[in-house]
Amino acid sequence: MITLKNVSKNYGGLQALSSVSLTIPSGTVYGIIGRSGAGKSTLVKLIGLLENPDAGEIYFDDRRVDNLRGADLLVCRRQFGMIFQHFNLFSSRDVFGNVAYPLEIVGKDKVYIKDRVLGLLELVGLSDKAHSSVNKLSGGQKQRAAMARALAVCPKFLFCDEATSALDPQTTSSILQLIKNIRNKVNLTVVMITHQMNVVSDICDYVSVVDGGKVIESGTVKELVGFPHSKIAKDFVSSLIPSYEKTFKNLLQNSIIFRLYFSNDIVTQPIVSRLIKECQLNVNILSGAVRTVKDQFFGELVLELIGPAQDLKFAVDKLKSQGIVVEKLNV
Amino acid sequence: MFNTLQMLIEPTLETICMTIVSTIFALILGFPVGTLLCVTSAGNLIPNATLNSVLGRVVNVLRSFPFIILMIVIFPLSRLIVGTSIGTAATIVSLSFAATPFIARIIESALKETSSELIQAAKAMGSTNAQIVFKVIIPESCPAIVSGITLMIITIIGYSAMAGAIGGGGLGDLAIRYGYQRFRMDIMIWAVSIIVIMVELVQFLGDKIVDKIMIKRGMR
Ligand SMILES: Nc1ncnc2c1ncn2[C@@H]1O[C@H](COP(=O)(O)OP(=O)(O)O)[C@@H](O)[C@H]1O
Ligand SMILES: [Mg+2]
Repeated sequence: MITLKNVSKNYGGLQALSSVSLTIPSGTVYGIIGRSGAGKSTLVKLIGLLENPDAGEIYFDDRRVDNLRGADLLVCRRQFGMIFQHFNLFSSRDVFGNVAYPLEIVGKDKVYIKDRVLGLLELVGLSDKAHSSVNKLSGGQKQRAAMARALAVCPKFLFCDEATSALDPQTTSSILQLIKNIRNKVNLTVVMITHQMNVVSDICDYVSVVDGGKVIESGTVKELVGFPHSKIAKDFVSSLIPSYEKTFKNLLQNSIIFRLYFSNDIVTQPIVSRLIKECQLNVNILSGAVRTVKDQFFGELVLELIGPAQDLKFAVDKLKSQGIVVEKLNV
Repeated sequence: MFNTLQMLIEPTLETICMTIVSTIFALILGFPVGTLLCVTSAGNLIPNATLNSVLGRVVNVLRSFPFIILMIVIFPLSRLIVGTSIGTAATIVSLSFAATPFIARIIESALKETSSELIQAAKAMGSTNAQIVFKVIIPESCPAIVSGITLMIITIIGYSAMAGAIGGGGLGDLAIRYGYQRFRMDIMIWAVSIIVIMVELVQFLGDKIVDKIMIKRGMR
């Protein structure tokens, strides 16, 4: 368990964090979400014992840690692993050497290190890259290497500062999956710092929304997604773009699904009923939304179309001729 | 011709010896100073404004001395250390001291290239400051250190030639005594050519080593 009591941090007059109180229960994945400049990295520097708060207290379990010095501080830092947006791997070492580093600095012997590092590389799926240069890895592989390094000393806590922000969506979900797998194997409390709501909804149990250096709203992820109170929480929740691949996974295998994009005057037209009447198709609406961006309307429909192949082709051509962008989701 | 070559051998060896030994001494003295300059700078590992600015000033003052003047200033010290103020041994003393502030700055700027994020990551893992310096900052800066040392060796070769003007031994000495004072143009040309070849060779080797490291690190 990590507890923050009225923690504040000031950078030359700029109040990066003001009186933040949080309780991060053991064994959970705790999300901290906020926009750029909200104070998230400052928060992670404080719980990572890299900087001291100006006021307030930080506890790991029941031990106060924000005032540790010297050797106590070093030992305490070895209780957690940390991964970062830009990976922060050592170029001077290969993948093996990077994962070995935290073990070397605590004086583990060579045999133990080799054993442990190879085990970790297997865990993160990088066994074949042990002696690659870290600069030759893809972003996802770099984050896996960083994860292996963070886990080397069997930490109680894993702090992730925008760990998926430099990665594409597929790689992001593979990294999140990896964190889930690891949590099934070892007892680990994970703090996920992010500005991406889909990361929170995918992996976190609890979440705190921070803005302007303050915690605006905290709760379980389900509570926040279901009933966001603050404006900023609502913004984050509405940024959750449905992942069709996931939601319609079964449907995608057995039926034909199209995504339609259209704008402005087409928004006011009866697209679906025309499909039914003029093309004699059965239509199943899976999702639909109209968004406004700078006074322009943008519509989106995800439809399952049921009918003979030639009717489907006729319908798609007809839609396209009206200026609607048609994308088949299952290729 | 044979005579000329024979005359060249000893000064060439002297220049090589002066360069190598002074490089080693200058590194022994300058590397720690450069490291200290780097880690005490603002936002680095152990920021210490006072130490940093005092050290920085001393280095700057020493660096702004023209080499010839510095050599003369160091004569008493040379006499103290090697018992004489002329010849190869005395030149090594002056070269080492002259190159020290230079290498200190080179090492400082090489080490500063290590990103603060990387240092922070190492800190978060519970590294001691010594571990961060020796296992992170120095290895990470290796390519920049090598090209800095290359530059320093070339500068020392140049300085050693200048030392010839005040009886410092080596190829510079030869060029001045024979080429300038006795109008032996051929010897002058030989001496200068050998110096140019040395410089080219050092540059070539330095570049090669940097290349090798960069390729190994997948950065090229
Ligand atoms: N070392 C620092 N010195 C001065 N200001 C800082 C420093 N670190 C962060 N800040 C400021 O504190 C605020 C919060 O920054 P940060 O915690 O990095 O935000 P986030 O990670 O949420 O984007 C920002 O306004 C930033 O400019
Ligand atoms: Mg940040």
